[in-house]
Amino acid sequence: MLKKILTLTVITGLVLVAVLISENPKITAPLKLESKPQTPVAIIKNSTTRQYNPQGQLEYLLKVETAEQFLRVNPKNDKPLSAEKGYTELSQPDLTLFQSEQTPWNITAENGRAENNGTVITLWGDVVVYRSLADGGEYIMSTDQLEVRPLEQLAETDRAVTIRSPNGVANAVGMRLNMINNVTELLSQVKGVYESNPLP
Amino acid sequence: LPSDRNQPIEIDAERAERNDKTGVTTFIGNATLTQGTLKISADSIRVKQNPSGVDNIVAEGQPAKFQQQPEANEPLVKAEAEKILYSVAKETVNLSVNAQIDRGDGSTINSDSIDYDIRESHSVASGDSGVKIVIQPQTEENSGNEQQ
Repeated sequence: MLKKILTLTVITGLVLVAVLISENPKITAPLKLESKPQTPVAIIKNSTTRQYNPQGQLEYLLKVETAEQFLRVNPKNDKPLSAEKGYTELSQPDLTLFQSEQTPWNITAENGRAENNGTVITLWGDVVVYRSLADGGEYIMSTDQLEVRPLEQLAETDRAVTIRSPNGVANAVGMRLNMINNVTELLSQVKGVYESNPLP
Repeated sequence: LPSDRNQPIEIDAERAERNDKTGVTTFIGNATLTQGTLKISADSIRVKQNPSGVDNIVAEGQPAKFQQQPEANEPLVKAEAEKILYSVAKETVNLSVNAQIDRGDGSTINSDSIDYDIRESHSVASGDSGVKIVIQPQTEENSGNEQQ
């Protein structure tokens, strides 16, 4: 009798694990990088970066738990290239982008990499784009990888995205977001589900 | 069906564009909308939202098509037009530009514009170029049944 119960428990456990894995195949492996030098040239802990535009207005704010700066190496002669050509690995990046006269956009992720003097930031692992809407609702978009160009206030991905808003959910593959005119383009396989209106 | 109004509205399409300033999301490319037995298919479907939910839906196509089953024991109502405006809360549908509605009972209406009330299953047609109504003659079988 005991043996039967034991077998049953094991089978149930295995089925549960199988369901969990198949339901949310998270991105665990980081993006493929070209050969990375062994040691960073600088490590910065708990940093906050503020970027202002020529008129002195705050454009974006980037908080990072740990930032590791690397120089790229010239493959021909193994000599380090200039700092502009380097990149910075980010852990727990938290990016807030500001526009005039509207609520800011906030983007968080597990990992990131800033390149081209921070003009391109690639984020991956539980990427969440959040914004509170004028009518009190919330815009929450989740994906597992996103490329952000903060100075242009643009973001895009070719991955699956889910957007939750006050009375609906949209899923798609591929997305482009313009944070200035607040337009989100969903690029393929779009499915929107809206709750029915409550009876008057 | 009367219960359609309580069903979620599901829309599928090739791509979409959502504008948070206007509250409008436009679904483009083989767009289909389903809400219970209510179905709309079109080239594009525009959803206008307000804080309390979906305000109205505009479908455009060559033509855009609408169908719904008014009651369980009634035939499908089918309609088409180049533009279909579905006012979700009011449960009304306005068909405009080459509008046609087939009530499944053999009668069809063609007009520039047709207003269809989902709750009452009642339609009103209007148009500069006139309204054309076709009512199929009753077959002998039906008329015989009525005489007994």
